[in-house]
Amino acid sequence: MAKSKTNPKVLKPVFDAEAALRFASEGEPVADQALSPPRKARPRSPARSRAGYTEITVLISDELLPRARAEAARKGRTLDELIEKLLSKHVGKH
Amino acid sequence: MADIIGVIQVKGGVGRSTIATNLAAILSAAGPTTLIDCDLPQGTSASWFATRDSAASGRDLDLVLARDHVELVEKAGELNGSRRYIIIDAPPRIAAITRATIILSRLSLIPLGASAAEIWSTSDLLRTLDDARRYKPDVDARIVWNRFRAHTREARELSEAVRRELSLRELDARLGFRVAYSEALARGLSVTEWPDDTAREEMTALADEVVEILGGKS
Repeated sequence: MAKSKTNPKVLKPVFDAEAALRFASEGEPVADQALSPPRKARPRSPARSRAGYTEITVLISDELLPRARAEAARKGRTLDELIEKLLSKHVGKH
Repeated sequence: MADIIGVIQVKGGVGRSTIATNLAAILSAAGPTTLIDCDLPQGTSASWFATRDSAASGRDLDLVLARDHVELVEKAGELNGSRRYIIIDAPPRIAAITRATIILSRLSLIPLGASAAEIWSTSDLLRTLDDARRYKPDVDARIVWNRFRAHTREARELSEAVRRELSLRELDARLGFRVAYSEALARGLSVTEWPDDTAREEMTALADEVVEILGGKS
């Protein structure tokens, strides 16, 4: 394959949605302090080591992943917990 | 790709919506512009636009509401390819939506009056701007002096103290203490559409400086 003669892009894209969502989610406790008592941090999901659970790999689009992470952070859940809850809503728990 | 300009400040009543609405009106003459109002339910920018819609229809300007940071990022992303400018009127607190605004914006404007209360609020915002630079090293946030009474010693001393103690750049353009800004806002107009030559010159100078800064980044 011929090498491109264009210069490599070294500047970060101006519109960085993922960084915006990550930084915004990181800062949520700051906003909460002014409006309501701080939420207690939820313990991290023990799903990976819990009996009855299996670890799987799922492909999620680059566009959807930061939104899912932001939503999980907003709800005080891990990404695992959020996805399991959404999935169980669709297919039922049993 | 749109030039995104955020208007941020922790304290309310400092002129965020005045600056956001005027910039939106002026910059829309150069291309399609969207004003995003994130300060809900107050919605000053939205009220201004609703008033303007009937008074100045046909202009290349529209309004979008964003209730949280996820909605803001989604809507800005959708508009990014089709708009020349996006102006974000952020809420008066360091909320997730304000943090998202800082990251999305090529230039963040921080309205500031020469009063101790407003300057103290800005000190809090400085920490958030420093944090934001971990995600976006070229965060550019600049003070816009508003309701500035250049002839008073208090204003001169406070502005000198800010320059000395806060590590923030400031725009050369300053907005004075003028009733024209609230008069124009109440009618859905910019001050460039209102019969006050001094206010018009101040706001035009502000918009020109913003365009010059953004042009220098391209």
